[in-house]
Amino acid sequence: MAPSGRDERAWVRAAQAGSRSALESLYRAHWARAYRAAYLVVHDAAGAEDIAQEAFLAAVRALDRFDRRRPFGPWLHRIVVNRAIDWARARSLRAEVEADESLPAAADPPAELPALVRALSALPPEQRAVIVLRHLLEYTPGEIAAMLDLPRGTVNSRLRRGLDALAEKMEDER
Amino acid sequence: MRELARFRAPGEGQAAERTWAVVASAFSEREPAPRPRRRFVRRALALAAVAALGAVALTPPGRAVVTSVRRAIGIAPVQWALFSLPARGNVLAGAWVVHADGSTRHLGDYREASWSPFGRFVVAARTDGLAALEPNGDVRWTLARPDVRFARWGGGRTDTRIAYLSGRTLRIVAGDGTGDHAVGPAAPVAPAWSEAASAGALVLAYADPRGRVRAVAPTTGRTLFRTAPGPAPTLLAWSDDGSRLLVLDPTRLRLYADDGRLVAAVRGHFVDAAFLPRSRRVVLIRTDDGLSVVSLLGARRPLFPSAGRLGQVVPSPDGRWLLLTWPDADEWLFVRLGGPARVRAVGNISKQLGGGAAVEGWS
Repeated sequence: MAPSGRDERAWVRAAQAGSRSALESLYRAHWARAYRAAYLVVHDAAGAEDIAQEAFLAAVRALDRFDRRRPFGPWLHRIVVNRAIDWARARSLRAEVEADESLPAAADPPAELPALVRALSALPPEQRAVIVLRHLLEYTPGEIAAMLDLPRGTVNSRLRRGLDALAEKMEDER
Repeated sequence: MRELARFRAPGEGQAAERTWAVVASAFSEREPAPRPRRRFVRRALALAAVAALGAVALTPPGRAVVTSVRRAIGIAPVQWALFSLPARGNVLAGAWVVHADGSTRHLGDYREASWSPFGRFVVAARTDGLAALEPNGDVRWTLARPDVRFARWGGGRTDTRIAYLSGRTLRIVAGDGTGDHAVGPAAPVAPAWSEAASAGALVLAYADPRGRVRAVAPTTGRTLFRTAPGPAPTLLAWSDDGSRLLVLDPTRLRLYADDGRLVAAVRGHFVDAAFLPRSRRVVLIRTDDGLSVVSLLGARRPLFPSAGRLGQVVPSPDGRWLLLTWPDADEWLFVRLGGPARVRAVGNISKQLGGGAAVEGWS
């Protein structure tokens, strides 16, 4: 559950002043959603951990400059989702050039995952990202457009195509 | 879509704890936000220039550009001979000792060597044995063993030991050459000695063939801790106070407390790392998209980005300079830590030191 804006501002202020416990509160409040968002885009637990870790390290590095009037979550999620898209693209490129090596197959997600999550893994990373931002992290299309530096129309079309493709995949699985 | 809101990703809890250890470590080492200064601009210029140097260093036109860029921004041109070290102490590179005044001495026909704990002696290895030497090359004792590598001398004023690999077996011999015995099978990485604060005795860290790092007390034979199996480490090093063990492998950097607790783990492509003297701070070289970046673990800004492929980072005994080896350019770079950016480059290393041997230490 996302923390209240007031709590979050207090934690950021205290962390800027050097409080480790405030940083931990901020971390605990945001870790799960950051990690899940990364996982749903890259479908690789180690990759998601790296991406979420890098995002939190970036937050620590930028802490002194962070404007505490702004919410922390969108700033963190922007880093997470953009890095996750880059990671997924790089992985698909690597899979092409290292076809003879047995990479863990992103296209074959574990069977114990929910059907929706397995279906999501079949979409292109750009579509996965907008669906995750909209339906896991609950941003508006306008906010997503700003986070991904895209026109709002592109976000809407990716959402529409992604959801259509998901519905087809789910239908196929039944 | 409500399913997404209820979704729990695999390994979430363990990943959270691992990442918190890294984030907390970075937080504890972060520096206060600096105010903009002219010095920063100068350093940025210097670093950008060095990055340019790396890109062009290998061709004659490149050398000309290097020289002009260096002159333009106030970095001294490459010295084509090692006239002096920028800090006190002696550098051991392969079987060569480089003194602070720039004079060099070849110890003999050895494949590698390393300093004794106080820099008074050298232990040197060759394929058929081990030798303890004076820094002038005089031999104090020798021990015939096959395929000797990675000899490391540890201990205090009264009790010193040398750990080394003979083939795939870790062995230990006393500093006077007596009591040589096998410890067990080991991975091909140099063992590391510490006088661990909590154990109050000599502690040796080494990697076994399954990539587990073991910390043992050779005097009692007790294993203090053992890590999980994994990729074979490329580097083991203790902080001077013995409270932290640095373990590097090609994709991870890990820091353990002296009780075996993992206190930090960072993923990346790491080339080399070292503790700064009398500090728990780690300076490291990692590669990022073909660039070598030198930085302090957890620090916000890199100390030294370079487009060249750097090989080793070795802090000076006073911790004020870093020696960076740059094998492709056949140069050593001395980079000052703190204060205005200052870089000294020395070329022709392989000609001066018989093949550009690896730096074993600055003591």
